[in-house]
Amino acid sequence: MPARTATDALRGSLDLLVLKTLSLSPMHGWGISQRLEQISNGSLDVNQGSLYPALQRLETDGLITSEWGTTDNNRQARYYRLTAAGRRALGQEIESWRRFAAGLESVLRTS
Amino acid sequence: MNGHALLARLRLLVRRDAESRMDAEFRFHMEMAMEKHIREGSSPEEARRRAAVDFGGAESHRESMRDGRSLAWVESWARELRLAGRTLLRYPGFSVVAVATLAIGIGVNAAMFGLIDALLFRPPAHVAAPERVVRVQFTSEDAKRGENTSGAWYAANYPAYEDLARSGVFESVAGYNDAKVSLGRGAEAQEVSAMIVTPGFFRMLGVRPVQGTFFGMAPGDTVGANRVVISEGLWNRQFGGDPQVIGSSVVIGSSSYTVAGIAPGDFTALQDDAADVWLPMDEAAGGYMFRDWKTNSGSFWLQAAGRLPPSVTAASVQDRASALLSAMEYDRGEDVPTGIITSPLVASRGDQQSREVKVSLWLAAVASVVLLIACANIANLMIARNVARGREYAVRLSLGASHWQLRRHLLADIVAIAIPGMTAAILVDYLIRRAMRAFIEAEVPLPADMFDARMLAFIGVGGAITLLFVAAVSLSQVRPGRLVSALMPRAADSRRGGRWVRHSLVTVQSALCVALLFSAGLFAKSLSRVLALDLGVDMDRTVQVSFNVARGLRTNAELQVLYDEAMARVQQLPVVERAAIASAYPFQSGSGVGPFTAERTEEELWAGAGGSGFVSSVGAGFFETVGAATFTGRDFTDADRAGAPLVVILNTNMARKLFPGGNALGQCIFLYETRECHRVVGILGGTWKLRALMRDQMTVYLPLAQTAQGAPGSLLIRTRGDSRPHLAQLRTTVQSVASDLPAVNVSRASDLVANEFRPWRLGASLFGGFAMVALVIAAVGLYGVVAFTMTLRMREIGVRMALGARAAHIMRTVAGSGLAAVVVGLVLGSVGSLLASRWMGDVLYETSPRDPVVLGQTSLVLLAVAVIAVAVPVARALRLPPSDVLRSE
Repeated sequence: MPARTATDALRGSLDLLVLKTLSLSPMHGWGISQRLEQISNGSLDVNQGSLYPALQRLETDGLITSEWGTTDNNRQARYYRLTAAGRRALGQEIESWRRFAAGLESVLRTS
Repeated sequence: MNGHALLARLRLLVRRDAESRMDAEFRFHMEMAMEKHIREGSSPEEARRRAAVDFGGAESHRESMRDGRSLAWVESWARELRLAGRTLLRYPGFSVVAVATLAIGIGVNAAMFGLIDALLFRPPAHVAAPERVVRVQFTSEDAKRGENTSGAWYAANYPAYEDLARSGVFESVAGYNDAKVSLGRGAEAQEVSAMIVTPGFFRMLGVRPVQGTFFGMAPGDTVGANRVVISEGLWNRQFGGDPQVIGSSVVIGSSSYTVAGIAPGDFTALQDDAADVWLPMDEAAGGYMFRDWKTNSGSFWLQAAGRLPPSVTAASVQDRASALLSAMEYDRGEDVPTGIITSPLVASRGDQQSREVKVSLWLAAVASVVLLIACANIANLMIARNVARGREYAVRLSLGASHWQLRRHLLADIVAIAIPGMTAAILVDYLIRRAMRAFIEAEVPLPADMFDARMLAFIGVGGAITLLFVAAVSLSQVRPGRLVSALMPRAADSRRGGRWVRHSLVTVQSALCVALLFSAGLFAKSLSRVLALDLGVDMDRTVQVSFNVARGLRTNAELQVLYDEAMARVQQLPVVERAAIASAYPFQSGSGVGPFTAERTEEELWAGAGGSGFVSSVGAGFFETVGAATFTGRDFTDADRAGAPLVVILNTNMARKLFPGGNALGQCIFLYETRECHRVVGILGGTWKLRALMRDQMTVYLPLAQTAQGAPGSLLIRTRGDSRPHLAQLRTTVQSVASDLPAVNVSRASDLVANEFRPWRLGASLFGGFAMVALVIAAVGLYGVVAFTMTLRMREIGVRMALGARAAHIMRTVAGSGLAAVVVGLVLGSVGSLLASRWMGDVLYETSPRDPVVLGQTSLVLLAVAVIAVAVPVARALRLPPSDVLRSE
C-alpha cells in the first residue's frame, strides 16, 4: 500500500474515523455509522451511505477485511475488521492528522 | 463456448455477485436504521423516509462503489473494446486494410518461422534422445574439428564402417543407403523410395513401430531374414491401413519379403524426406546392392550415424574413433579413412548449412521485411485515424476523461484490430504452409496442423511486438495538450500533426519495397537464366522410360529384348514422333572416361588434368529424339553397330579440349588404352550430365551397339507436342510388354531437372510473392496517407479551386509531398540493396547482384504503383465541386 501523504489528510478524515472505530472491535456498516454518530455527538454530519464506498476503498487497499456474519438478532450482516496493515496505517493517519491539525492551528493562531 | 461468451459470462457473474452483496448490505443498513427510528417513535413510513434521508442518494453510492470495484477494469476495457469494435464495423475500408495487413504480416512470418524451425531447430521425429545421436562422416586426413572438412569423404565404404562398428566407441552405430526400388510385379508394380539399413538401425535410433516389429531390435538379431519395414504412408496408400498386412509377403526387386512392421508416418530417419520401405542391408537387399559392397574399399557410398555412449561427448568419440581408425592396419590401397567427423542431428547446432537452410534464412529475412512494412502501414493508419478523430478526443478530454482513459481508448482501438488480425494470421500461416508443402513436395517437414503450439506462440509473440510498436507510435502522436486546439473552429491546420512521421513511414516502406522487388527481380533473372540453359534436350517433349530392374532379374540380352520390344510398341503410338534407347539414365548417371587422346597431339591427356569426362552409350537416333538444340554433324544410326567403324559424338567442351584450334568433326580420338580410332561424327552444343548447372562438364557419347557389355537402361521418347498428357498412355503401353515386369518409371525430362531448378523457382516465386504482398501493402499505405491528407486539406483546396486554380496544379502540389517521400525511399532502398548485394551473390545464378537493368525496372514498378496510389485519391477529391467542400465546413 502506498504511504499516505499529508495532503491526503483532509480527504482521508472519513477513512481515519472508520479505521479508528474498527480498531476497537470488528463491526458492520450500520454499527460503524452509529458509533461515529455517538462519538462525535452528532457533530460529524456523515452521510451514512457514503460510508460504504469508503469501506470498499479501505478493503481494496488492504487496510480492512470483511466477512459475512450473523448479528445478535440473527440477521446476515457484513462485518469489517482491521488488518495488520490497517493498524499501521491508523498510526500513520493519526500522526499525519495531528500534524495537519497542528499546522492549521498555528496558521490560525498567527493570523 | 467461445472466448468472448466466456468472458461476458464471467464478467456477469462477478458483477451480479458484487451487486447482490452490495444490495444486501444496503438493505441491512436501512432495516437497522428504520428499526431505530421506529424505536424512537416514528411511524413506519416516517422511519423509512428518515432512514433514506440519513443514507443519502443510494444510487450515487452504488455508482461510486462500482467504480471502485477491483474488477472494474475488466468492465471498462470491455466497454472500450465494444466501442472500438463498433468503430471498426463503421469504417470497413480502414478495418479490412488494417486487419489484413496485420494478418499477412504476421502470417507470412509465422510460416517462414515454421520453415526455419523445421529445418534448423526440430530434431527428427521419433528418434529417442536425439541429442545423443550424431551423423558420422569419414575423412582421409586427420579431422580437424571446427575447420572446413575439405579432403573429407562424407560417405564410408563398408570395411571402414565395420571397423568403426566393431571399435565400440559408440554405444551403437548404423549405416544406411537410399535407393529407388520396385515394389510388386506386373501392372501393379510401382517404384518406391527405400532405405537399405544395417540391421541395428532402428535400435540405434530408438524409434518404435506403429504396428508389428522392426528388425534388429534385439542386439543378437543381426540377420535381416528378408523382413521389411514399411512406412505408415505406404501402408495407408497401398494396403488401406490393414493390420493384416503384417506377416504378409511383398516382392521388392528380385526378392520376396515379409512385412515386419509399420514405421510412423512422420519418421524420416536421418533424412529430409521419408522413405516408403526399409530393407535390411544384407547380401540380397532386393538386388539393389552392388556385387562386392562388403569388401570393396574403393567406393564410398554408406551413410552412417551413431549413438554416443552415456556421458561421453561427441568430441571425445571423434578423437577415439580417429585414433582407432588411423592405427588400423589396412591393406586396401592408400585412400583409407583415418578419422571421423560427427555432426549433430539438429541442423542449428552444426556448422554446415545446406542450401535449403540458406535460402530459408533469406526468406525469413524477407518475411520480416514484409512485417516491417505491415507495421509501418498499421502505424500510419492509426495515426491517420487519431488525427481524424482529434476533435472527438478533445471533446472527451474536456468532458473530464483522464489522459489515461484516452490512452486506454487508443489501445483498445489497437486491440480491436489485433484480435481479428491475429486470428486471421493463424489462417494465413496455415494456408501458406499448405501451399509450401505442396510446392516443395514435403521435403521439409513443415508443421501440418493449423494449431501448432510453436506456431501459435510465434504468432502471439510476433503480434505482441508488432502491436507494441504500433501502440508506441499511436500514443506518441496523441498529445492531450495539443488536442484542445482541435476544438477551435477552422483549426484544420493544427490537425496536420504527425505529418512528418507519416511521410517517413512511407519512405521506410518504399525503401523496403525496393529492396524486396530488387531481390525478386534478381531471382527472376536467375531463374530465366537457368531455364534458358541449353541442356541438349527438349525438356517438354522428351520422356524417359526405364524399368526398375534389380540385380539378377534380367540378363543384358534379356534387357535388350525388353527395351527393343518396348520401343517397337511405343513407336506404334500416334503421339510418339520417335524413340531411342540409351544406357541407364543418360542424363543423370555416367561413368568416368579416360585417358583419351586426340590424334593430332599423340600426347596422352588424362581427363583428370582438365576436369573429368563422362561417357554414355546411346542408341541410334538418340540426339534427334531428345531434340538436341545445337548439334553439328550426324546422329548415330543403326549402321553404327559392332564391327562397323568406331564413331563417337563429343560435346563442345570435350571437342575444344581435344582440338583447341579447329574443327573436331571427322577427327580421330583414342579412348582408354585402345589404339583404335573413334571418329568424331557429331558435336553436341549444350550438355546435361549429372547436374544441369555444371556447364563445364566434358562428355563423350558412344553408340550403344559398339560398347562392350553395353546394356540398355532407358528408353527416350519424343512426343508430338507437350508430353504431359501422354504419360499415362506411354506407361500402359510399356507395361504391356511383359506380364511380370518390375516397376516402370516414366518421367518428363523437365521433371528430372525440376529438383535442380527448384531453389531458383522457389526463390523467384517466394521472393516475387513477398514483393507483391509488400508492394500492395505499401501502396495501400501510401494511398491511405494521401487520401487522408486530402481530407485535411479539402477546405484549402476548395478555396484554391474557387479562386480558379487548375486541377493539375493542385494535384502537383498535393501529390508532390507523397511522391517525394516515395522517391527518397527509393533512393535509400536502392543504395541499401546495392550495399547488401554481396550477400545475395551466392544464391543467384549468373546474375550480378547489382544488375542495373533489374534495379531500373524495380524503381519503375515502384514509381508507377506510387503514382497510381497517389493519383487516385487526389483525383477523387478534385472531382468534388468546391462549393460543396466549402459548405461542409
